[in-house]
Amino acid sequence: MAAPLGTSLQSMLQAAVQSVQWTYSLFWQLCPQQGILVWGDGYYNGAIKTRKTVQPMEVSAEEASLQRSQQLRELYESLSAGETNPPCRRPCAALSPEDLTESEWFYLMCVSFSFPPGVGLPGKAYARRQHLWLTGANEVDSKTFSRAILAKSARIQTVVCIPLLDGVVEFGTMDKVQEDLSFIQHVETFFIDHLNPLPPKPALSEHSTSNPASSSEHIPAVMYTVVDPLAANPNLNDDMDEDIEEEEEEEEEDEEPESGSEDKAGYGIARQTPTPAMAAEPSELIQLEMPEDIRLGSPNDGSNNLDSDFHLLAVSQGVNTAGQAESTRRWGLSQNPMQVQLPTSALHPLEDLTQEDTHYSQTVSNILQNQFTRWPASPSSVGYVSYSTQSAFAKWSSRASHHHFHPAAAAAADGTSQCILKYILFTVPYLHAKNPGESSPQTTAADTKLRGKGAPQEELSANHVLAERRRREKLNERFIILRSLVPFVTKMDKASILGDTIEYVKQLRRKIQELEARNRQMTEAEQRSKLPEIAVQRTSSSSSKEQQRSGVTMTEKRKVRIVEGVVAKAKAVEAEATTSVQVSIIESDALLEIECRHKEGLLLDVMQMLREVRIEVIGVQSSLNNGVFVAELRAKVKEHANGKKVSIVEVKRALNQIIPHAVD
Amino acid sequence: MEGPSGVRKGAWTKCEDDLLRACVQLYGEGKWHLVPQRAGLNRCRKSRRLRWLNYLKPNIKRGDLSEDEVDMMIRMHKLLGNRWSLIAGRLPRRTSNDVKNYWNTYMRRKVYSHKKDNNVEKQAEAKSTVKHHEVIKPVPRTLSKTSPWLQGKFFNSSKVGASGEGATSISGSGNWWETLLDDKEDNEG
Repeated sequence: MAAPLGTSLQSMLQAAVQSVQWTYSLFWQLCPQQGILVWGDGYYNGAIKTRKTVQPMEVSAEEASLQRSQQLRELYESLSAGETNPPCRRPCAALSPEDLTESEWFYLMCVSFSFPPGVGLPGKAYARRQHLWLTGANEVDSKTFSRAILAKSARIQTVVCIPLLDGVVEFGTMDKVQEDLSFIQHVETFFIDHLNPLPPKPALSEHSTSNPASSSEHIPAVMYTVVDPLAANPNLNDDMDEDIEEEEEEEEEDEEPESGSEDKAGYGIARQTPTPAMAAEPSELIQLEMPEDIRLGSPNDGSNNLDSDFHLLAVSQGVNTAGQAESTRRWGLSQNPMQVQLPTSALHPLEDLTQEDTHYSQTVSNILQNQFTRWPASPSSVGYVSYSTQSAFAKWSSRASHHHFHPAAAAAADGTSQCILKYILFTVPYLHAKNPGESSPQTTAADTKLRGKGAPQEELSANHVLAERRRREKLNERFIILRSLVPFVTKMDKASILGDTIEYVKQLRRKIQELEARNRQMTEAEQRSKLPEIAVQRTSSSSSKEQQRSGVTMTEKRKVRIVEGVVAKAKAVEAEATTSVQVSIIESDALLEIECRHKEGLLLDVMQMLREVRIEVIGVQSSLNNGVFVAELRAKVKEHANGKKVSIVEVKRALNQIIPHAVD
Repeated sequence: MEGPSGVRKGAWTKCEDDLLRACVQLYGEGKWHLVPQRAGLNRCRKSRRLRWLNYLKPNIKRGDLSEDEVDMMIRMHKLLGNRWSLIAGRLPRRTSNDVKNYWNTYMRRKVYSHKKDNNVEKQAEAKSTVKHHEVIKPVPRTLSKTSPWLQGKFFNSSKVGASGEGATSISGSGNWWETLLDDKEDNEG
């Protein structure tokens, strides 16, 4: 609160209040930003408690009052600052609230008040541009004078507000003084005289001089006796002479307030409601809510992006295709969301690693036990395969080479298993489009809670419990998704799901390598060589014997021969595809592998035939490569009505009738 | 009722109030240790003084605080904190006990409820972020024999050298991720 005139304003207030020997003087300054009157400066000229005076030398009354005014100001600032900052040690000479008199309390509390124009005594004086003289301030209603309660305890009886400069000058005293026109003129003349030496403000002085004219018009209605101008002038001169000569006398406190019979009613000043206090609180609420709104904005943006990704997937999913040619377009469309999701998945593994450390170590230990048991049974051979740049599986080849690099770098099996496990945990669950959408806002919400400062201990533990619960829920959802993606998951526990997923990913990679090699051989147009045989893992010795017998005993018109790793005799002109059918049945589980020339509706025919022979298909993996149809079917064999199961020979015979063969 | 040391406890009766009031009128305030000799009261000194200051003093104002007194109390509490005697000294005819009780009953609850609203809002936001995830499980597809189209198809497929009319693809709109796997395995690009 810097006054425009600075020190000169305080000196004017000091001189004015001392010349009239009143208790205090204040200057209410108009705040240009808010448009309300706030405390600008003041001077206290009342009683002072001397219980804790630490001054070594006696000072004059004027210096004591000046120091008192400054100390009261400092006390108010320290008390208001003490609310936000921890109470710091104050100097010895500083005041404490116990050392104040009642009138000093009134002066101190005035600093915390502010008046809109038209509200309160200073506000109304400013709005009307007239002086307001209030007699009996300690007895009026609080609607008339908002500081009536303080005035009552401090015994302030008379308050005068005079609009001057850019605000209102207020004087107060403990004596009961009736309205005095000469007092008003004296104060106005005093301030105008101080402004006369300033030449760049002629308009302001003209404005001030207009006040006596307007106020003089109201004089006849208020005055009791007509003052003779000739008699008034010598009185003013005598007063000025007396001020110079005589010393200032201390004011006596009037213990018993006089009766209010002569009070002047009719002051229509509106009561000052606690609006400033209420206005401050909503602004604080707005400030508190702003950062939360900013935080909440970012997850909305994230969810919007994820919605667009999901919409793209929905568009690609909605396309109904009849042939295999359009499925290639779908693959092209599906590449885009995969590219978009890659940076998203890169961020989540870092967060998941921090959250899943404990669970991760347990899972790794479980899988390593399985790996050790499987390691001697099926040693995996790592062969170097070069991939052509024009391949359709460019992205997969980069991952495959990345996978091959790790065994060379880390010779131990633990490294290999750990890399595969990380790859599966962070990549396979993100095939589902909803996952990134859900985890982002949850993480943001958790961070928002954890950042809350000053939260009690119970809230911290509650937030932690909620975060852990959310993490477990997310993990369980991902495991369910993983179990639904892998076709041959047998058990429900997490270790089995992860182990089966590892096997499935390995099979997919192996199939990709075979298809790449086959495609390259056909492209090079070399002489056809022996193709690698698809190993049937679940073939038992008994079923292999039955295959040999069925080959020998089969006699039909077409003399169709079953090819097992042997290239069929083909014409030199036509390059025909090989045809092979392999069936293996173990108890009630069946595995069928078909390789033949492609035909429209072939898969439907095969499945329909299988239903007739009481074989229920569970999973199908099929592919089409240059007109060659390759499929692997997993099925359950059910019993007929007579309780007899179908045999391998019957299934093979039925399949050979459906699949197309080379025309002889 | 009287305690073991002969000092009376519990609520003050009208007779005791009259005795204390007469004693103060006769001898004035202060010197509370002499009240038993002067008035014949069997109350402890602290109780006598508090009874007079908070209840029996003639000029004490009763009833709830007015709006202006509440506003002034808020301002002074902002500056002074919980120093009730200083705050009550500035409110005419109010005791420090009244000011303390009023603040602890009404004002502190307002401040506390203000903080509580923020916590409720945070919990509401947490609940809204937790979304229920739909789990999609693979369902085996069964083709019914009663479909006439299938029977016709079977009749056609039994012929030798017949070109297939099959326009239906089993990989239609079942599970969306299965199509992703099929697309990856497709060689034609």
